[in-house]
Amino acid sequence: MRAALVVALVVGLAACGITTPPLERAAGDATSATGSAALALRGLDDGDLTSAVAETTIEDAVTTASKAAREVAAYPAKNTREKQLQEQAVAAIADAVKDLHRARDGVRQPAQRASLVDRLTADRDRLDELTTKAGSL
Amino acid sequence: MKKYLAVALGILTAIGGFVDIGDLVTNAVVGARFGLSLAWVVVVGVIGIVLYAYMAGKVVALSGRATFEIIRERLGARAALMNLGASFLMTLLTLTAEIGGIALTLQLLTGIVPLAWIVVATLAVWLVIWLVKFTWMENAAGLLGLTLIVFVVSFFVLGPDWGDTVDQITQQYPHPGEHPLTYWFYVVALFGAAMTPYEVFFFSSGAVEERWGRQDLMLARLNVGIGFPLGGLLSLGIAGSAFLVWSPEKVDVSSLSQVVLPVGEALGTIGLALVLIGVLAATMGAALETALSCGYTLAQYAGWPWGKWHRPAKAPQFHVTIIVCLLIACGVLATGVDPIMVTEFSVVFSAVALPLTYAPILVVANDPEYVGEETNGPVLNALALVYLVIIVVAAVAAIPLMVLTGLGS
Amino acid sequence: MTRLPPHPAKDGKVLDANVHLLDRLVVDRNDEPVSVVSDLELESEDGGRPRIANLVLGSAIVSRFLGGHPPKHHLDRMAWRKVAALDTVVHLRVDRSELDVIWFERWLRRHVIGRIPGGRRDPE
Repeated sequence: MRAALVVALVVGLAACGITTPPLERAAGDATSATGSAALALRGLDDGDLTSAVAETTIEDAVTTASKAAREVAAYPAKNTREKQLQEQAVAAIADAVKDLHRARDGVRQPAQRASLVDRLTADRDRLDELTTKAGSL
Repeated sequence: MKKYLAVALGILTAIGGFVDIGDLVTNAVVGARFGLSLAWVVVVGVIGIVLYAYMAGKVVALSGRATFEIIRERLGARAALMNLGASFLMTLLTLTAEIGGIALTLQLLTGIVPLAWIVVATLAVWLVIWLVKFTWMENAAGLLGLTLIVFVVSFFVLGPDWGDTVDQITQQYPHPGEHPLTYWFYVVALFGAAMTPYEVFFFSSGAVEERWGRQDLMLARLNVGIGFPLGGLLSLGIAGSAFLVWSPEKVDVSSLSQVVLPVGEALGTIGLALVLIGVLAATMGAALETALSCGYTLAQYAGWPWGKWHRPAKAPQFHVTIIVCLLIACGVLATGVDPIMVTEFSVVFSAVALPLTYAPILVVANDPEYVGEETNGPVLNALALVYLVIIVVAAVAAIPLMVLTGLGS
Repeated sequence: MTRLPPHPAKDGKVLDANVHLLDRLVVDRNDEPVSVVSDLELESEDGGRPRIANLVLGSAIVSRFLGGHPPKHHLDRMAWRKVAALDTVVHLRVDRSELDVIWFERWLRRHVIGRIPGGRRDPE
C-alpha cells in the first residue's frame, strides 16, 4: 500500500511536467471546436448532413469553445509574453464563440450559412496560429 | 439461413468489444491525430482476443463451464474476488457509458437532448433482457451493427492518398505536436479495448446460452475467426475516415457527432442514416453485452443459476443484479456526466482484471479434465503465452500512462 | 526435506482437495447450480484417517478471507454422502428445491422477480 502511494506520488509529480501547457491546450480545443462547426455547417449546406447531426456538432463545439474561453481567461500568465498571448487568445476565442452562436442559428437560416462557414474558417485559422505560438512559449 | 446466423454471437461480441461507444470515439480520436499509424495495435489486439475467445469457447463446448466459473475454480475465492471486483466495476462503467451512448445516438437521430433519452434507453435494455430470447437479441443487434461497414466504405469514397496511407501504417514516428507517451497511451488503450474481459465473459456465457457442445468446436472457430477481425476492420474504418476528414481541418475528435460526420461527408444523408442505425445497434448491443456480463460474472462466481434461457423467476439473483446495475448506470448518467469520459476511467481496472481473466483460461484450455484430448497445441500455447506477457505489460503500464498523459490530452 | 509417505495404492481417482473440490460449482441432480464449495469439514473416527464429513457451501467466504471461524450453525453444510459424482463440478444426488442453501433465491423470486410482469414467463 505504501509502495503504491509512493508510485502514485512520483507519477503525479512527473505528470505536472509532461502534460501540455494549459494555454496551448485550451487554444487547441477552441481551434478544434471551430473547425468542427465550420465543417458541420458546410456539410449541412451541401445536403450531406441532417440538421440534427449538424446541430449537435455545433452545440458540442459551443460547449468546448466556451470551456476553453474560461480556461484561457483564468490562466495565470507568468510573464509579459504569456500575458500578451493570453489577451490575444481571449479575444480570438470570444470572437469564435460569437460566431459559433450565430452558426447555431444558421442551422435554420440557409441564406447565412455560406458566409458563416467562411467566418468560422477564418476564426479557426487565427486560433490555430495562436495555438502554435502558445506551443513555442 | 440458420447456418449464417450461427456466427451472430461472435459478431455481437466483437461489435460490443471493438465499436462500443468508448471505442467509436477512441478510434476516431486516434485516427484524427495519428492517422492509421496505430493500425498495428488493432491487428495485435484482434489476434489476442481471437486466441483467448477461442480457448474460452472451446472450454464451453467441451465442458459446459463458462469463464468466470473457471476463474473461481483456478484462482480460488480470494484472487477470484479481486478479479470479480475489478471486472465487475469495469463492466458496470462500460454499461453506464453505453446507455449514455444510446442516448447520444438518439439525439443525433432526433435532435432531442440526450438527458431525456437515458430512461428510455435503460428501459429498452432491460426489456430486451427480460423478454427477448437470446438468439433473437444477438441476431438483431449483430446484423444491424453490420451497417457500420459504411465507415470502411467512406474511407474508400473519401479517397485516401495511398502512398501516405502506407507511410502511416509502416512508419511510426514522428508525429509532430504529439508526445511519444501520448502515442503509447493510445497503444495501450486500443489494446486494452480489444481485450476487454467482458468480451470473453459474454462470449463464453453466450455459448452456454446457445448450448454449445463438442460438435460446435468448428462454430467456435468460425465465430472468433469472423467476428473479431470484422470488429477490427470496422475500427480501422472509423480511424481512417476520421483522419481523412478531420486531420486537414485541424480538429481533435471529442464527441460522437464528430465520429459519424465523416460518413455524411462521404456518402450523404443516406450514409449518415445507415451509420446512425449501426451506432445505435452497436451501443445497444454493447449495453446488452455488458449488462448481461454483470449478471453472468456475479452469478458464476457465487454459483447462482443464470442465463436468459431460463424464465427470470428461475434465476432471480441474476436478474436482480442486472436490474440494480441498470439503475446505477441510469443514476450516474442522470448527474449529467459525459458518458465517454466514463469509459476512459474503466482502464484503471484493467490492470487487475486482464491478467486474472486470461491466465485461468489458458490453464484450463490445457486441462484434459475439461477439454479431454482437445488440449491446446504447442503453437497455440506459445502464442497465448506471448500474449499473456503483452497483457501483463499493457495492464501494468495502463495507469501510469493514463496519469502521465492526462488521459491522452 | 522429509519425504511424504507414498500414496496408498487404491482403486479409483486421487483427488486434490484444493484443485478438485474447493471453489468448484455444486449442481443438483438436474445439473442446476446450487452453490460453490467454499470449505471442507473433516472428521476422523478414533484417530483413523480423516475423511470428508461435509462440504461447506457458499457462505464461508468471509472466514476464508479474513480468517477466524464463523459459528457452526451459520454454515451451509452438505453431507458428503449426498455427493453423487465429481467431474468439473460436484454433482449432488438431491434436488435443489429440497435445500435451504437457496433461501435467498426463493425470497427474491417470491418478493421481487416473481412480482414483475413477465417474470414467470419463458423468454420469446
